[in-house]
Amino acid sequence: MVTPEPSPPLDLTAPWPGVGGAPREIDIALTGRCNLRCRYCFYADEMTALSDLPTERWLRFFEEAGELAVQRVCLSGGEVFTRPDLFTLIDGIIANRMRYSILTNGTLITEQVIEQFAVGKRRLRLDSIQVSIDGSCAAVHDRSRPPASFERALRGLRLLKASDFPVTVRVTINRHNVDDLEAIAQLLLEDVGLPGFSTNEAEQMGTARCYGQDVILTEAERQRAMDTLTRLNERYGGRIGASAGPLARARIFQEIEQRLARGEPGMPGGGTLSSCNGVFTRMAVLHDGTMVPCNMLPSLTMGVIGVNRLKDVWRSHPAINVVRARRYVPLEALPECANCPYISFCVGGCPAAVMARTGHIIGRDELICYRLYVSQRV
Amino acid sequence: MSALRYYQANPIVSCRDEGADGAILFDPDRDETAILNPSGRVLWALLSEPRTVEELAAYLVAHYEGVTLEQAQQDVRAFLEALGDGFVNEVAAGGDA
Repeated sequence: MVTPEPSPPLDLTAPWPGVGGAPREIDIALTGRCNLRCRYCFYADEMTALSDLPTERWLRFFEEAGELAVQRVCLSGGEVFTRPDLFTLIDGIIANRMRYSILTNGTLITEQVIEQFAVGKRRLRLDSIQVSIDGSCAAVHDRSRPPASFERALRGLRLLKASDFPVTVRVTINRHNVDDLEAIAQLLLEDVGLPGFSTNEAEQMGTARCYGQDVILTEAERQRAMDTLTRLNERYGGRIGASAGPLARARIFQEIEQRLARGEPGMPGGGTLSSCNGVFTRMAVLHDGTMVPCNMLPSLTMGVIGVNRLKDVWRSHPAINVVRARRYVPLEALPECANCPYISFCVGGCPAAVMARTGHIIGRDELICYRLYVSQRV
Repeated sequence: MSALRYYQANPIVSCRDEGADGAILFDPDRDETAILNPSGRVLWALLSEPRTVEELAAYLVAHYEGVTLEQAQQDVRAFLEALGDGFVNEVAAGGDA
């Protein structure tokens, strides 16, 4: 955990104090290719605009990351299993003393792919493989994806589960599945038998900018999802997770209400834009090699792998330092937060969500604004 | 056959420096980490080659003021024990396990 400095560094091009020589984790989009075209893919704009790096460039980058003792990489895309050299790249990660995880739509997982993981340390070093499932049936899941996606994704998920992989599922809540959550939980936790799954929410990014009216939740739907997921999570003993989206929102607001009920003056880090902590331990690389603070902040470019040194970018690039510096911005300085009675309970929310909605990195995420929520409570 | 026991850092373990605070070891096979204080970081660097407790202790005595050989040997043994197998392995004098 990084302890905030007592005062902000004045020079955003200087090494940020206390972040170490490299990120602990790097999110890597290995490819812009995908066999699906989902209606809320946050990465869609980058997929069409950028080209994939060749194998050798990635392998050299893994060497650089390994030398700096980066511990983990998370591989995504696009769809990682469209890369014919995927296992060569995974072996490069392993050779450089790192662990890895994979985000996939699951539709290209076959028995042959499962067998590939048996080679060397590919299974040993795999932290998790996350499959996207957005409905309990084809009628729901495939509303946001090409036809037959559900059957193929579910088949891939079952194959991974049957082979005892560390498989997880992410459910992206959207307008098509908001009333299917109970059936989704039943499918994943009872039928497939996963230990748990996580949730988030379709954001106004990528293809969702075009199809927003079809997929982005209304406030009433979001609140319905909050209630449903909270109830389901109680029923299933806390097996539903969330770091964003309706369930995370419900937890944040619940905590605020509990602290208010106890008469507490605020919460740790409250009163400033102190979220998110991600930029102190991790960063991202797009599939053309562009380094960015987060894969949901693709416009904050910090150079290119193999051209700019990872260590320099991580410690000193103003694009990541400006996100780190958000924690010194008092919420009371933001016009939208003026006179808010809950200001000391708020940490500002996701910088990428703010950026997507406003074009600015400094601002509060309206979806985690408790005052707004109270005023709109259905 | 030598009675001395040699120790060496597991080459699969990575070490990331965390400024003046020391360093973090990471064993990617076991998914385990260990935190080193600054003097532990010094010992870790020495363990890139096979070393005995006596060699490591002698280094500490030579470079840290006021440390006795007996205390240094105790500290080195405690350090090796705390890290345990996986991070540091007992090896033959030539470096083979």
